[in-house]
Amino acid sequence: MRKKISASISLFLVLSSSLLFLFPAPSWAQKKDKEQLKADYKASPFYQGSSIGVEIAGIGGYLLGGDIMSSEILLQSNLKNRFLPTLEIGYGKTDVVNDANDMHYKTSAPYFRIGMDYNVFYLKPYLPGYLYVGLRYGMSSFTYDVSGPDMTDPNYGGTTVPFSYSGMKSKASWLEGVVGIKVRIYKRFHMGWAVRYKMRMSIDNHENSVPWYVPGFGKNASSSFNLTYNLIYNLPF
Amino acid sequence: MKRLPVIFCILALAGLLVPGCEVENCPPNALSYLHFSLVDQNGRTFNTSDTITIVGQTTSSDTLVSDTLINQEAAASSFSLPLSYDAYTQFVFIYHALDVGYVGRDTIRIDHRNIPYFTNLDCGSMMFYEITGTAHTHHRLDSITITNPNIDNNEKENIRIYFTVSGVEQ
Repeated sequence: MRKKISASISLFLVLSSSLLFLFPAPSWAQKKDKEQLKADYKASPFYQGSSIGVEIAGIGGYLLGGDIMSSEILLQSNLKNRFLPTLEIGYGKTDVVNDANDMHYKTSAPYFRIGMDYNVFYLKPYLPGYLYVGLRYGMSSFTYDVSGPDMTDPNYGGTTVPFSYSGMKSKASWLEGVVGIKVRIYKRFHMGWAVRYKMRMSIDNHENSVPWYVPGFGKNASSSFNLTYNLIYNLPF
Repeated sequence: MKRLPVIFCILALAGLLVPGCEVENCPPNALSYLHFSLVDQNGRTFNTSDTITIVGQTTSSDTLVSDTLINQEAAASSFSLPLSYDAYTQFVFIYHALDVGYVGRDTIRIDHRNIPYFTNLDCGSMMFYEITGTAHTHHRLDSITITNPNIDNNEKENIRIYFTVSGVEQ
């Protein structure tokens, strides 16, 4: 049920932002010819402002009963309305027990991503938003605890071994490919969503475990997908 | 511009479907076994002509625990045997020839370090091992070598048991 609610909210957010882009107000739809657009682009200033945003899909999923809470603040600059260097600072945490086998995993830590977006529609500033592609390098340094029921020897009888490991340190780094849209909703306020394909580059494992959840990356695997939804404010400088 | 609605519909659909793609990767085999290979004096795998019964033994709370793991297997060339959660496990190989019956036994003792291991919240815990020492008798077998001391849920050879096989070209 929670997954259905979460999926419905994701659908609403994705479609609402997409529809704003697909059906812009008439004042936004002033088209100019290509030559004029190129001339305008060349004449445009190099630095065109910065923006700050917050990712809310991770918080939403957690409030709806998800096991993982993750959110981030993003800082982005706009260079020639084409290149958008981006810094994302976030925090991810989980403290979860699997009801089926009583395994417990706990971690919480900040994470960082740095990279750049590329505005595919940089020649069309009259649109209410834009489609972008981007790359990120992400990293997180974290400690995690894992515990579970005592292990009982299945072959030779009664010997039991406790299973509890705390404070294990790990570091992970990964690359992300990003595709998303950003649309204006009111004056300096924007919203947007992005699909991220994450490719793990490195992770520190322990003799007794591999991290199950990596803050900023998600569940530990060689790759993963996820969806982010941002509320963004364009700074007045 | 005409293609914009199509692009956005595809992206919206992708974004919607992505959260549903989560899969947990539990290993197909959650148990770890010690893998023995039987080889001749030249290191070539061979199928034993004896039938072999293998009894696993360990000492748990000062009590000897025995379990018959393999019962009169014929023409075997390898065995996968479980280790205990104690400090050592020993395997008694009991040989029977087809014509004369019981022909002897060997005991292989494996000292090991136990490594409880966690891979995934949904998959629970597993026990891995590191072989720290071996000892054995020499009634039918010649020698043993450790080819891989790390025992996990990957099926790979850990110990090679050498037998002298007559009629094998040197």
